[in-house]
Amino acid sequence: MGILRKCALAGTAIVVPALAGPAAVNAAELLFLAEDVPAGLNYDGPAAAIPTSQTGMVNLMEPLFGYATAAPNEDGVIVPDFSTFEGRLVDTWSYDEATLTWTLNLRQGVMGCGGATFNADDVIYTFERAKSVSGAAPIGWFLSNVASIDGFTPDVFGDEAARALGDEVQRIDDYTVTIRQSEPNALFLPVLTIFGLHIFDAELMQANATEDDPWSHDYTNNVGVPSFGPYCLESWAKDDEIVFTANPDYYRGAPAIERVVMKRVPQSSNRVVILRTGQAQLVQKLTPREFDSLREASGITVAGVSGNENLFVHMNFDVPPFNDPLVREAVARAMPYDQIIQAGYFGQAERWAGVVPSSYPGFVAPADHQYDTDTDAAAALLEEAGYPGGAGLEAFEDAFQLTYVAEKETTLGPIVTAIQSSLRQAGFPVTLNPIPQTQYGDRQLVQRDLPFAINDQEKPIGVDAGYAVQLFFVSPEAGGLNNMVNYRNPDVDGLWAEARVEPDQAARDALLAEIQTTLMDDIAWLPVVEYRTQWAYSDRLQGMQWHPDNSIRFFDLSYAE
Amino acid sequence: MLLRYVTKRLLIGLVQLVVLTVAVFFLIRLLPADPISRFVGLNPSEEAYAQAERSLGLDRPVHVQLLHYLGLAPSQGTGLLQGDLGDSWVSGSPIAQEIGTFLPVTLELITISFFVAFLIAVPVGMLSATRPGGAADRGVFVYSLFAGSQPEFWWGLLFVYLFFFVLGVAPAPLGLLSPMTSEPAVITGFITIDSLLAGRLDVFLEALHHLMLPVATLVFILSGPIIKMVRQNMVRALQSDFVLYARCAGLPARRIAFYALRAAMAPSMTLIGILYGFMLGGAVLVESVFSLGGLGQYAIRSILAFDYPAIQGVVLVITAISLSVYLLLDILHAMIDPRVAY
Amino acid sequence: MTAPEVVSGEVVSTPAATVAPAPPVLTASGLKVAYPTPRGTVVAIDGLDLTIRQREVVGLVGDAGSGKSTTALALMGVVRPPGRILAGSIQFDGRDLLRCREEELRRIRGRDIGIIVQNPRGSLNPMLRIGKQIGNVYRAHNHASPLEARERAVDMLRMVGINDPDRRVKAFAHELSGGMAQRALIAMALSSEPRLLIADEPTSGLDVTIQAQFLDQMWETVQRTHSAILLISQDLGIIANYCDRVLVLHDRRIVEDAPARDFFARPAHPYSQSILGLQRASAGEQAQARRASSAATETLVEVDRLTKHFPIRGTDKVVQAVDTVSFAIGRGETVGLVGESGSGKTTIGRCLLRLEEPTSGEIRYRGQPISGIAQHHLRRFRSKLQIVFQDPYDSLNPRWTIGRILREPLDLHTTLTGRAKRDRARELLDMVGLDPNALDIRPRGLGAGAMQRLNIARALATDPEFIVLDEPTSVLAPSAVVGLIALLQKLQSDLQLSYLFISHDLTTVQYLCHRVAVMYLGQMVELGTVDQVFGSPRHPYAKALLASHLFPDPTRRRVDRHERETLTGEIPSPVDLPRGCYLYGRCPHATETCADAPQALDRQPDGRLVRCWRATAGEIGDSA
Repeated sequence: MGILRKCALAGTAIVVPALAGPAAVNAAELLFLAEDVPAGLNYDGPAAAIPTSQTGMVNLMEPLFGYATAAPNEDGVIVPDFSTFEGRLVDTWSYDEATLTWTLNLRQGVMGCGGATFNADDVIYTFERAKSVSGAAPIGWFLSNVASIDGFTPDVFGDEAARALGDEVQRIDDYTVTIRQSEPNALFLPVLTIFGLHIFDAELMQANATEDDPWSHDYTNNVGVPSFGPYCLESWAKDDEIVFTANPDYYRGAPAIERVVMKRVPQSSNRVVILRTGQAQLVQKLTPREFDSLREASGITVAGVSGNENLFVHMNFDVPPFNDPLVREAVARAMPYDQIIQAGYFGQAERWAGVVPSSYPGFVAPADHQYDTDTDAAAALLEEAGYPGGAGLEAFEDAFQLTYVAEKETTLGPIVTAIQSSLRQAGFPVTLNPIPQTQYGDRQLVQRDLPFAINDQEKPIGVDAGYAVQLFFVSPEAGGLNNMVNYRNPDVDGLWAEARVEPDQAARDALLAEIQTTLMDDIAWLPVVEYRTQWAYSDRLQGMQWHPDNSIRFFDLSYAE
Repeated sequence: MLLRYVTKRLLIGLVQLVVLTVAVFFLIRLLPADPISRFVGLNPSEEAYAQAERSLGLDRPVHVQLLHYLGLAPSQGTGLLQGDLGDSWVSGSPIAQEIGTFLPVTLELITISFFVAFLIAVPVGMLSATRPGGAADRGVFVYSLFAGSQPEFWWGLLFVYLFFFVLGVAPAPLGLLSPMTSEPAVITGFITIDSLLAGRLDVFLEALHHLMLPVATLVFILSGPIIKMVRQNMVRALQSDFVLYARCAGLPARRIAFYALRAAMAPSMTLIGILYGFMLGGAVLVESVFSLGGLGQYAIRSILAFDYPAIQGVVLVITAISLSVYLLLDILHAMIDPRVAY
Repeated sequence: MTAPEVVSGEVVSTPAATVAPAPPVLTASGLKVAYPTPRGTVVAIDGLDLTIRQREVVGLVGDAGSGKSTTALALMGVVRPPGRILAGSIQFDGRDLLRCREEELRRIRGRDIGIIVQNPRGSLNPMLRIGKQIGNVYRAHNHASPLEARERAVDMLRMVGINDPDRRVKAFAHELSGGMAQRALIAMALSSEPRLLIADEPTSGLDVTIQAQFLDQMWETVQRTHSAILLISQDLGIIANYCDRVLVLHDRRIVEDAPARDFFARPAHPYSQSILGLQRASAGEQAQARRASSAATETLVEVDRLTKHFPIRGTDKVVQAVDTVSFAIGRGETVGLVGESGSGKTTIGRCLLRLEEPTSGEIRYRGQPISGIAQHHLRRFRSKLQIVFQDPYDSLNPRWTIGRILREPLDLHTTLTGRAKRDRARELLDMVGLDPNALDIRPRGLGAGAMQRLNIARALATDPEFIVLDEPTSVLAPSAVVGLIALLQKLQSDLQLSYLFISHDLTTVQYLCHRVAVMYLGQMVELGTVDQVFGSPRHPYAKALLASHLFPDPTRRRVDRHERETLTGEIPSPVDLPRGCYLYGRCPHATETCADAPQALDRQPDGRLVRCWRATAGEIGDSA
């Protein structure tokens, strides 16, 4: 026992002095707790799809264009005005309809970190790099292709010569660049606001290039990304933390918060607890229950927006019985929408009235094609389809496995359970099938053979209804990019082919409205809810703004006096 | 004699590692998902898919990939033989570097935990064996009924709640150092050692302070099996003939207890070795609760993302460490128990 | 066979000797020790009284499981857990040990009372060097520095007869042979010169010659230091040769307490009488006649230059187990094979039944060769040649009933039907003295003696003419040995059986056999009648073997003899055997000639065979 006592005393002697507590937070510093920290800062690299990587990119880099802001919503969160574009690295711009050429007059006096200075060379470099498709995931090329920038066609993959940047992007002088489209595609400006076409500083990027890696992918994957954003990279430890310091020369003014530490705390409950003690000032990605619990906590603000996060049910047209419209509608009418909103989101969600995010320009909610919970109607439809009370559906047991991402069990769990019990009552032999994220991605995107699934992670990156349509609902043969349910409707394809290149806004909107009505009629997707994107932060923090990539821009934030 | 034994074991270990590496290489390619799908989330066109495949090197035939990985195909690039574990498909960083960052965290945590657990568990086990029915024995009984069966994950969160949130004596579960403290220069990768080497006593104490709760959680869990093992072996030793004879020879009680303890420690060493190897990956839940970026969470991230080279790298490293630990413990065992022959 | 019921519960003692008795060292009265078991408390000793006086060697005999070891430990106040001492007092040095505090008792143990236990290697700490252990015991009772303790350890080892003690002191327990470990234990026990030494079966498992050396040394040490010994043993030979007084432990207490000569000559208690049965019958006329006869009857089994080598895996060497052995066994005759471990006697027995294949040589049964023929041709001989093994438990399938066990040989070698088989089985049980109605029980609950009888019954099932008995009594308690030997004799005379009796227990050999062969390292060194070989052995090894065997005759104690035939050194390895006489190097009569020339068996004028040219030439005197 003597030994034990001695050890205990020694232990206390060490611990007590260390209880002085952690270093106090400087007034101009921010500790931001997230579920992960950037795994890479290269939007053409392997980590680009990870949301927290995007957070790193957008705070260090600067786009050509941005959206103007609209008034704050009911929670005090500033939302963008998607109808109005603002020049960021671009000062003024003009468009020539005849030649489909945009002339961009670049802003002067823009300085980045490490002595980077902005001029037309940086824009050229960025597009050259995008067209070289040298990274693991060529996002830059993809966005340019979607916006119909001339020359950014799939040919670049097969033909090395096609990868050289032609005259579609031209340097006129130090501060003037022209970009030519191949079609009057309305997605040009929206695409240039997305992280995937933020501008690099050519000189510093080239300084870090090597013979094997002329486009500095290694450097941006692991070390840093030279650009003109509001923050500079102080230190970066993957899977641990990333520290940003303000760029004093930022052209829109030095950021109010001088230093931001973004720390990885994988347990959401820990993020809550640390926020409550005041040691951290900003957290994201808590469960709806946790946000709810913080709403009444003193010193803490919980705010959110109805942005572009949504939940829908995916029924594969190529897998019977989901090819039967009656069955599809029966499922739609048997879904327990209210229960999902309450149990899954604690009321922080609303019915999704369409298949495109409702905040996007071009969205319509087709009035006659809404599906509310109506168990009688569901039963009638099933009977009409030839499966009275669900009899005969046992033959499709495999098809009724409701697949979802296993890592999201905490949030999706209550939802899928509610769906399962309601649908079973209606006679559908639903079983649950959680699978790992990567496997889910594989089956959804590559193999496209998921019969029945629930999905809460599709957020169209281009803020435009047409983009969403092209992404999800146009058949692959007609240019559809991510048509996971194998929906093929020649009408929609035809309407989209028209709308894609329709220069007149009003006409385009009309075409898109028709498309969306058809989509709801066919139940291409079964929209369930749009849920709020929320954050919790110290009540001293103000200026929270929502951006469509769901990443926080630290430049927006400041501390109240 | 000892040198020959160690050399023999090292050679065998090397062969084991090579066989394991090749086996794992093929086994993970049997996993039911395509790692490329992760790259084409935004843009799943055929060309993008092919591009991603090419960048990962998966467009080459399997045997070429294997040779490249092993370092036997210089035209393809460096591999294991040259000390290159490849680059992670999730972050693009060299895996050796990533493991070099995460492994010391885990090693630091579990080594300190084992050390403390040992210091606590052995005397408690000894006491409960020599004084059955006494305080230590009853305490052990209650502990094994109640605590030993709950997961460390739960205990970790409970400790955070109790000691950080309610009592405020422990720091936030933010990792080894407060995010506002600057880290000492990386020499060994172990923050405790590096801070001492850099002469920064304040950082050293802070690291210990942050390690308090995760170590306490692990010690809580590890003590259980160690106490039971020591106790059981000691009880058996106390009933053995040589202890009986020692009593007959009039040896003082303390010496008899140490006779029995030494006999009990030899088999316990094996258990400790196995536990240590297990904890290399098994500490992941505690690491997750306390936001320690250790090897376990790296392994899980790699597995969920089907990051083949990272998975291979982690398996290789954990195996190598386990084999070394077993070798060390075998030597220790032989030192304690002279009946064990090389 | 069970021991006769105890008629009265009184201790039967003989009147004290005329000389005033020495002061008592230890007196125990009313000692009671019990063990809790799942089936309730078992009382091991109940109301045990004994006294040990100064300069006395007191022997304690009793059956296995009678509580001898419990008594030994209890006299120090120690009980093997979970047992407990329930009652009694132990007067030692003016104190009652059972009322003393643990610390006082601890001081007495090891310093004033020492103990040697039965399992020497198991009682040594396997992890410490023996020097350290002996040192620890010494330092527990005396103030000494570690260096002084080590020196004392070396001295003790030298004193107990371990050569090269400086090197041996660094050895670990598992590196020591049984004999050395026992000596190390004695060194520990004697390191503080105790006044009472309790020796519990100190020589079990040791070879006979080693045992003799060892007991001599112990006896001398005690004489020199004026202490006392309590010598616990089942071996009446040891008791007779070393003890002044004998205590008999039976039915959980001491039932007889007498001086050794009185005890052996006129045992008073019925139990004592039963264990001395053999000895007493041995003096009878019938036995004398047997020993002198060299019954010339028809030859049944002939062994002709039998040789057996065992190759050592991984090398070219062989272990020579049996080297050119020849002898014959007649109808109704018992031939004994004696020798120490490694002598080859067991191998010969196994070769006779083709359980081992002879490397060369021939074995003939009734003139027909039974070695060198294929195994399946042996079938018809199998019923005639049987074997009984040493361990009765190992030889029987514990899951079979007795009836099934006896039916097996009947199935194999006879054509009897079911009913006839049952009858025959009952008959066999009756022949060996077991209950004939026990056919349906399993042998699990039977004692070793009864199981051995069952083995004999099984051997008799096929009407054999020849039985090899391989150490059949070595695991039996003395009382059971008596019964078994009597049974074997009876069967031999009733059924005209021949035996090859392999044993290291010369006492039983002397009683049962007509002729005897002495084996050493695979060679037969002397062959003659029992009277010839046991009465006046000629070969130096036979002399030493007999000299070191402790016959239970207190009138001719080993310790009283002045000249002793001893062999020096240890038995050489059977792998690298010397060129000449195998005994060269240990033999007190060895000369240069002995080293060079291999020795042959010479026929002596009185008909026996001796393998020693000097003995044949009459250069070595007979010893009684």
